[in-house]
Amino acid sequence: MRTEKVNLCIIDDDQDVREMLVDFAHSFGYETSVFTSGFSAMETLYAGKDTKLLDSIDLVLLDVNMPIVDGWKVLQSLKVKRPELPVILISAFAGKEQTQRAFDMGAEELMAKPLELSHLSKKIEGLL
Amino acid sequence: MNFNELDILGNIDISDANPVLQKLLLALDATTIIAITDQDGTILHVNDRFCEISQYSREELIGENHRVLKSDFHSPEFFEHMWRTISSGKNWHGEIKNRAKDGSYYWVETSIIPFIDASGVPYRYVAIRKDITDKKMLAEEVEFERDKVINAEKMASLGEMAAGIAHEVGNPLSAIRGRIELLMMKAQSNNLSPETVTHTGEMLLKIVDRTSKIIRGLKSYARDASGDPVQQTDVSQMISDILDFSQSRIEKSNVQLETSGLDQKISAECREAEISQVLVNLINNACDVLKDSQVRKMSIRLKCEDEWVSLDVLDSGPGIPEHIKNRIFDPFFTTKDVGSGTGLGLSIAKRIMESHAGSLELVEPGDSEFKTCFRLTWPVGQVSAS
Repeated sequence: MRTEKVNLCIIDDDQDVREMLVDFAHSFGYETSVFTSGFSAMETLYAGKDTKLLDSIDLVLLDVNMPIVDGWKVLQSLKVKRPELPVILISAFAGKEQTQRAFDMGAEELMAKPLELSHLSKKIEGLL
Repeated sequence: MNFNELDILGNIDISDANPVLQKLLLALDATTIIAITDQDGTILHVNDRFCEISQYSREELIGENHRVLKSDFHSPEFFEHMWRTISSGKNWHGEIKNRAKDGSYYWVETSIIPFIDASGVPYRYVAIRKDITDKKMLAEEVEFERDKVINAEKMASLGEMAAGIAHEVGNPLSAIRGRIELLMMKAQSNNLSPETVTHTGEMLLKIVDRTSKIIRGLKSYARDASGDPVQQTDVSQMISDILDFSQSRIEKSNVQLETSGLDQKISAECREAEISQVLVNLINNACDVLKDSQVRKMSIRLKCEDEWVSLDVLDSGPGIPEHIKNRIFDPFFTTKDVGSGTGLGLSIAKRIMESHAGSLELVEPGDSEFKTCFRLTWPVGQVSAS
């Protein structure tokens, strides 16, 4: 039995989606660590000296299509630092190829937009 | 028979005419399509060429009204204008599409010369025509092919943008769906306050408005707007809408955008959707060339001087090489990879600006930060600057 609250890391450049995901996480009693771009997530989680935050994360919700540093690059870096950390990718294009690529790169799931929260919450519960 | 009075009901008898005139008339008869009608358009005389092209026999035509050959291609105003001209005693020239007996069409370049009586009223019309069917058919075919190519170009640039749009629309839809699901979850657990409903409603409306904007932009970009009426347009607002629409493309290309002059109120006459198409095209081009640049800057500068709108799109890309500068507006000229551009964008954009009595030019950027500057200009008609 966990004593601490679950910490969901949300990385999405779209404000509306990000805020919705935060509200969703809070309504399930999760804590959140939020990044507004792939770049800022990498800066803190991968290149940052303080590893406390990265260690505190239980699961990552990661948007694929982001400028400069996209979800694939973030996924790759996260899996280098913490291979066991579950990552759910979210993409507007969730075809066969992308799904295969997501699994090949170690992601636990690739979910298509528009997201179904009921589906997402089940996935999260299954992975925690 | 007196030829001068043209009192003719069959073939013209020219045996009495002067030999030179005879030869001239024979030459005319052999090479042109000739008809003579009375003041109401009833056919009195046709030559062999006329029968040949219309496929009617002389017997079928004489006594009929010339209307039997009408193709319905021309508007009633077209013929009204023609009749007004000739019935007032003036010559009329024009190109007419007629229908032959078998239903096929033919084009004739036509001159109608009224013969006027002593009181100044026309009593005969002599029509001299030349068969221009081949020329017109070729022109129609070229026009058809051109439309097809323009359409293909639109579909290609649409395809290019479709990926970005799926993402753009996928995001707000995700947010909308998620908000609704959260609302329902709260309702199911009896945890739904009126404040939450209001708050969620406000957010949903905001997101829906954002989505509509994207769709609106897409709609105006993808359709043929050449038939739109010219309307008084808020140019700054139009540009802001386009920038909203192109925002994801610009961000995705990691391009830093600066604008100037958008805070002015400039109102100008234009076909908004067409000018938008030109601007989207220039923005997309700039994003493409900036892809491989170290410094990725774009600038959009709006000005209004001497009743002309001037809109500059500048980029810090590598610039357009001197030797292709005079070819970039040629149809099918492209520097993009095979499959990523048909080379029609700029040629169409230029044509759109010319249809606004304006221009699209490549000018010196006049700013060392930028290497390329495309300038759109068109007359405002009316300007209200504040």
